[in-house]
Amino acid sequence: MELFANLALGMQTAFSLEALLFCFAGVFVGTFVGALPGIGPLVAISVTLPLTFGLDSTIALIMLAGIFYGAQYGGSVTSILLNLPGTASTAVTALDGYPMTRDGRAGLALFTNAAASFAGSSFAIILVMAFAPAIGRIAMDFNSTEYFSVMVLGLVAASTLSNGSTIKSFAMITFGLILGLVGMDLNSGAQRYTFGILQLTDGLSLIAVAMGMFGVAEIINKIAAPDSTATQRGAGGIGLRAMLPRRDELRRFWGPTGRGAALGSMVGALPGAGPSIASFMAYAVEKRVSRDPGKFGKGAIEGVAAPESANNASVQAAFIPTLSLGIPGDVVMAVLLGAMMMHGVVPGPAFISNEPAMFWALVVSFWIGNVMLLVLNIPLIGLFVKLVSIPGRFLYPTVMFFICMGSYSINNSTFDVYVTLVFGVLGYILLRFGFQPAPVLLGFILGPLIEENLRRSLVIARGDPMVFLDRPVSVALLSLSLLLILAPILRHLVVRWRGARHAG
Amino acid sequence: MLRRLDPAARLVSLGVIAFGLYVIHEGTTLRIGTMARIGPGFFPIILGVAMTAFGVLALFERPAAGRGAFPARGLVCAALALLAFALLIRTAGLVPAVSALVLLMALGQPQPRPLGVAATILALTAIGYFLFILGLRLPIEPIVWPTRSGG
Repeated sequence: MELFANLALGMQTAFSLEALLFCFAGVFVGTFVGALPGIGPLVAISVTLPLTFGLDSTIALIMLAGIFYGAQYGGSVTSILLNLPGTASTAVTALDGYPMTRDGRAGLALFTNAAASFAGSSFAIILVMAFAPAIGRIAMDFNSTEYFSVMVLGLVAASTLSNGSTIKSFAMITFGLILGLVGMDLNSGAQRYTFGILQLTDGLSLIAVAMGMFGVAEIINKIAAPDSTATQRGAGGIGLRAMLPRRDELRRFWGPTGRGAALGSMVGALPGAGPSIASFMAYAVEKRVSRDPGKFGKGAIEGVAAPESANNASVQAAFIPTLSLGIPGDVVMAVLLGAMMMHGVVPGPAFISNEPAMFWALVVSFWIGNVMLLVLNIPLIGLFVKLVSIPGRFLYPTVMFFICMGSYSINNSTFDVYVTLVFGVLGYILLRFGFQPAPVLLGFILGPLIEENLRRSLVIARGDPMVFLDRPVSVALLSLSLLLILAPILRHLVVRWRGARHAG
Repeated sequence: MLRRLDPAARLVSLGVIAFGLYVIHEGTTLRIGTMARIGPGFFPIILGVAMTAFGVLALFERPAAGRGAFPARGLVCAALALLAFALLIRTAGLVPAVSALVLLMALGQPQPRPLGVAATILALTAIGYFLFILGLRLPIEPIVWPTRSGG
């Protein structure tokens, strides 16, 4: 079997001592930052990225990926115990997880969380193993025209599926694409938007922009708020005994977990849609299919199992488009994609066939990392609870320090610290007025690729823009993009029309 | 509908429009090329037009609800903390840069506590020294001593 040969190949690297060590480091840091409100996996990956330059690229990716999926575990623990979601994607878990804690069923909630997370992740990892290589093989036949259209779909999906205003999301995607222009144009050698600044010739640093818009902006948002001291209620003394579910509770676990895993994988595999949307959707679905919707919000196991299974599945499934097409399934994936490029790995359809050892090692490391997380979570729960109660006056200077060191160490230059500063202030102001920062990074990563593929397509078609409507795959992708743009407008019109009819 | 918008939100949208127009303006100084061979100015101009259009559309949108007071002090202090770090890390070294950063961050918070600030400076300097200078061998001096005494 080809699959077993591949898995064996991956295990060789993934079970090496170095890989195990850095996988552990990754999931540990991930759980840690996931539990801390204010810093998410994105900032953590940006800060750690410059530190991985000395490492083998496979090992580096294993660790950075571990931070990403580890953060989902950490965030849910604090959602359940303290009603403090460490990351946005685990906010839904608090709806039923925290009531369970207040009822003295924290142990059961944590067990449900860990088991559902593990099940969701496992399901999605199987999908990654099955689909990523296949999609990669199909995409090998793509030429620049299809490529351009896939990326357009990715950007459109990211802006229409994200929370908040679609127009503002589009504005932010465009802003990201423009930021991607900065530097020397590789085709003509022309300097674009560099203001004559030498350091901008190579373009803006992804890490500096990401840390500014996510890290610094978030600190500005939080720093002025008075210290919130989290109360530890019902969190002490959770033994393994209290965690194990009764048989009837176990029966209520499988349905929501399964639906959550399927939904989460679907959402995660879509370019641009991330774990937050997956967990919200899974919760909504459970509420709708349940025979007793009234129990939600009062400590229903289903309300913990479904969103947890979904957000973890979506996080793993986000690797499908990232690894098979080179198109990020999520903002954090965009940064991870940037990390691959910095390590000299070219993402794209050829990645899996060119670097099978790296791909399979990464996939195997997902399993290892998830098992580690499952084990890690039980003894460390007390520690996480303590971490969350670190007062802001210690936490924010520390995060700021790591951001400074991280951006300084990209090129050992203070220029990147200034870039972080500018994007931090800008990011905060934009966020305050409803312009989300996530699409900016997506646009920034994809910008140069979109322009290059647009240029190539037009060269091949001798300047005929209709080429994008000539090739069937491209037509399908662009129609889907158009549909995503039009759907909310149509729905809006229908609602209005109905409203007008009722009023008249 | 325009009347209901608060002026600050409108200002941000106008900023988006101005930025889009600037991108177009800069784009026209670059070679646009032909459809078969697009030049470096082609894609920027498209993006500039899109940016301007989205800015115009955003003008007509209802503003995001529920904004608190503008955290001017926090914003200024966080920005100054980054600035101080950038200015000091090369010229004065890790210890002064971290101290300035922590101090300025503390000024941005509602009730700064001197003891906590001192402890944070100590802890972060230690992390910086052991992790970044000894561990990762970043070319940073702990303290840059002035070459001439009193100079």
